[in-house]
Amino acid sequence: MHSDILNMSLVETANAIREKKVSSLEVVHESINRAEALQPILNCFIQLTAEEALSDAKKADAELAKGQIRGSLHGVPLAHKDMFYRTGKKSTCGSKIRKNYIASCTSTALSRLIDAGSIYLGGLNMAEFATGPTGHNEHWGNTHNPWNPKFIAGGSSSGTGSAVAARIVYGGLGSDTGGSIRIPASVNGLVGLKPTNGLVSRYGIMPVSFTMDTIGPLTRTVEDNARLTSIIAGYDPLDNTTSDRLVPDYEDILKKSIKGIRIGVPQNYYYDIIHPEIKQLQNTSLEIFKELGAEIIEVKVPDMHIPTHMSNIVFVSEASTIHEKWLRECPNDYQEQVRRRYEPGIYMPAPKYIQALNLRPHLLEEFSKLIFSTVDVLHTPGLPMPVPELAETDVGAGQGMPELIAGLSWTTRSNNYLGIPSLSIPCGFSSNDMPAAFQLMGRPFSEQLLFQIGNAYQISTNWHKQSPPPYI
Amino acid sequence: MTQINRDLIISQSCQYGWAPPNIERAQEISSMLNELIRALENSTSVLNFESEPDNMQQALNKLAEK
Repeated sequence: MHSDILNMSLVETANAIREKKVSSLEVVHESINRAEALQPILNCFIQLTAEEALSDAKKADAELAKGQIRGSLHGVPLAHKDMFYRTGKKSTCGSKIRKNYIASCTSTALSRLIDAGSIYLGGLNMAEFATGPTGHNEHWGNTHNPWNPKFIAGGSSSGTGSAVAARIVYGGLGSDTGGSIRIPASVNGLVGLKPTNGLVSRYGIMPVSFTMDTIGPLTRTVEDNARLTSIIAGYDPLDNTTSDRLVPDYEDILKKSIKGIRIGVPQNYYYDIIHPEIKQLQNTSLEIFKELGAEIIEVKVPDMHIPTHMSNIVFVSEASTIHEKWLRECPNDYQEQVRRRYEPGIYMPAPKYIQALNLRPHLLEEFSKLIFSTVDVLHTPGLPMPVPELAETDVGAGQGMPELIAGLSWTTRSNNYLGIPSLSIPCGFSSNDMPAAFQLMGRPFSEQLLFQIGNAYQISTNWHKQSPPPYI
Repeated sequence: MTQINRDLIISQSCQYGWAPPNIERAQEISSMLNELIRALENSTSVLNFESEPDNMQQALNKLAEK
């Protein structure tokens, strides 16, 4: 029973704890054992708070025995990217500079998950200051992919991708400024949501680009993702960019038919650098949607290089604003690739940054009107190429490395500038036996529809039920 | 069109008290900035910039399904 329980979904485990088929202490104990056993292989934790988690699990069991249930995650262990602050606790942000940083507040998203009963198992490895799509980290060591440790775990939420796929925890939070949830979701065979900007509070996280940062969950199933999103979404007076729109229960219409839903397939940009194997997997997933009664419609998208370039203007300007003091005082405490990403922002003329912000709603409107007047969602590849090996994306990997790195966020980066939601869903394996994914993009605040379509796909397929090698 | 050259990068860094990048890196930074700025200027020729940037949350709400 014990090793099996970590293979269950988050929702199944929450139900099993609630029905007292298993205790929170048993589940947390199993999670800790697995985390400790896999750490030398995957390096997905920066800090494992085992004692605290065991103590919290005992409390959760005692409460349950008295009939007290905190919420829909009662007793379920989760772990999160090590950038979600907890008052009085260390939060490294994957950096040397914040190696001993003690937070003075708690992240709203994290406190909502804890209020719903989840158990905090620790802070997960990540790219330094949430910058980088591969999972490389000179300060804390690289994160490895559980499907094969030679391959990248993606980034910047590398530890969350690795730990959830490795069946250490059932889900966890990541952050996404250009693909940092969706890339690790794609390469680890997980479901990852980049929500609409403003749906989830960013209060109490280390920002990297404050107008484009978003927070969302990585999980093994769409249903699990919908549960976590229902909990963390919604207005927060501590983050004045959050929307006061009513948040639905995203699990409500998960099982509703998708017959008649119009799925757009882009005829330009998204397939420009596609690998044939990935294209084949995209086509196969579209065939399944056809069988489910969805209408597949070819669409022409605007020039997506423009929002991608604009997102780079905003990113370098805001990241260098946040990091200016450290870049000046301790530039050598950054890993070189991260420092080189921020540095150009110092020289970006201020009018250009403001103009890029000013253009943002115009490009969003142009994109939305062109695409979502014709289709309900857009279906694109997740990663356009098979998952690369860590060695291929190392600094010294050679000539093709910069293009390979840029290609990792080819389909993701523009959405953070546009602000629209995107859901990454696993859709098979390429010939290197590594996961592949598609991405669903919708109009602002259409997360419920994305979950409905994604869940219909998972009910008809079993990619999400496949596990990486157990190792232990 | 705005043009940022490597000499500007180096002189700005000296002026503001930064460790100046070497010539190759300054060239790399200026090329990158020019590419981004060119894309921006090509896309904003019809816009005027007489007000603060539009509220993105309003735009997202407006375009959401009612």
